[in-house]
Amino acid sequence: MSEAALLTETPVTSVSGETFEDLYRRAFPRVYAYVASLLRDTSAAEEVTAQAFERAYRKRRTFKPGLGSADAWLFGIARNAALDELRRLKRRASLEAEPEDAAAVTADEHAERALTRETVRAALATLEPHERDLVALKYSGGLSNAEIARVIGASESNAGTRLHRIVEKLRKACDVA
Amino acid sequence: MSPDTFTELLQEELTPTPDPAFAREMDEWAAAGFPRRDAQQRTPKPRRRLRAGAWLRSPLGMATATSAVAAAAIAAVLIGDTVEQGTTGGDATTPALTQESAAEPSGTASDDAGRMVVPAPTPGGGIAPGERDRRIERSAQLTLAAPADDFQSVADRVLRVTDSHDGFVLRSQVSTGDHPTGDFQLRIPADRLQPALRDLSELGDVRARSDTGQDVTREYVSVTDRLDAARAERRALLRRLASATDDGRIQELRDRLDRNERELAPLRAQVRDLRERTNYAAVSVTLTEGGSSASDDDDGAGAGGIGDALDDSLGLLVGSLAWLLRALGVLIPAGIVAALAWWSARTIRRRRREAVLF
Repeated sequence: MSEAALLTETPVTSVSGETFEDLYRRAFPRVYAYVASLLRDTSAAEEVTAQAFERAYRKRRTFKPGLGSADAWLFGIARNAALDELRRLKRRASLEAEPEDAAAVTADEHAERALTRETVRAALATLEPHERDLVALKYSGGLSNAEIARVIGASESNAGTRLHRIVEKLRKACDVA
Repeated sequence: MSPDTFTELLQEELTPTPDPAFAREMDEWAAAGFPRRDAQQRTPKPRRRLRAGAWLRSPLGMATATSAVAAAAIAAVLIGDTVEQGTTGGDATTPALTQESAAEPSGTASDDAGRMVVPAPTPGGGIAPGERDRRIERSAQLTLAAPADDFQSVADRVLRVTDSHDGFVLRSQVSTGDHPTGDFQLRIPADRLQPALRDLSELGDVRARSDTGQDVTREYVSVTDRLDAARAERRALLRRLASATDDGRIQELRDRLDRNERELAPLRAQVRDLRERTNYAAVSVTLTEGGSSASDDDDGAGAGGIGDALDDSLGLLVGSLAWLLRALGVLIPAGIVAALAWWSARTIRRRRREAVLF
């Protein structure tokens, strides 16, 4: 059954050849990671993540497979929700609002790795919000350059070039060999 | 730092995991089929009432409003052009004539004693500024085809129709035989021209029809002004003659009266001619052999009936196509404008949203 047919014929949910529930289970951790990386606030990230999935569920029949992947569609909705939240709060993420990280440094972690992690964190903190947005879509969301381009409304080459520059900036800041 | 370490740490920093309680809550919500979340669970947001202003600012609202304005503007231009075309030339001047032509079927000298009738302005009748009334010389040509076995009957009906519209036959010539022909020169009151043409057209198959109008108002006004001036001079001369006592003076006045009369006569004739030409339309009717027989007219299955039906169908089809083209002429530009408005609104909305990132 084609994606469009699943979308329209399955009565409850259907997006891109899988049910909406399948999409949720596959994408939830990445959507949360992306939103949290962008907002840098745990409670706001939880609320926006829930909003994003709710909006996506209500608009599931508007998904058009020919316009892009389901992930790009979903992350577009999540991005809009996150940007709306940012506008509403009218504040930028600060280092003080770092989300809790399950992989945070523990006392047992090697000191060098801890120092290295801090270097990466500091480099990330220097990013502008729009740069952080791209990096989050790539690393938090796990989207391809084509999907990122679809989400931000740019060409694939433009998205790839911007992403490359940001990563290079981070690598330089981290003194990567 | 090695590239691998950098990438690994970057990935770790950018993939925070959700709180287990939150993840559990989301899983339960998904398992329940994504019901609407309780209002208390949602972030309090300002209540967004669907106000006209907010809707108009949305992409759909902007597109709808813009397309409506564009469609109205285009339709107004089209309607204005149509009205303008409908009021120029043709029958628009006929109403201006109906109010006075019936009283003056033949312009005689005694009719000229009174002042000219000045009709009240009629809507669209177009009394030109500075003109006392308008005079249009109208003429029409009609070619009818009638079957040979009905030819004489049709010719007779031409005369009856003319008479029924208070017209008269200036000249007629009908020849019957193998190739019958008929030629009529009619004079129909100008205000009865169109009804008369309609009735005449029903007598046979119309092969050709035309009607023309020529505005001779200026000529008419010029002639009548000269006539008025000549009459005024005559009255003045007559008054002087009545009070003259000197023989020489009397003779001089009589000579001038003679000259005035010689001037008046042709002017009266010109006015009479112009009135006749404008009060009555010249209609030329030509009868030729052909068309459906009269006996077939009652039979709906006759060739004429089918031909008329085909003509009507074609006319309807052409009319429908013309209407469709006009509608497209409005809808396509309006649609383009609406699409541009929708795209602009969407772009503005996106940029406004992303402005927070910059």
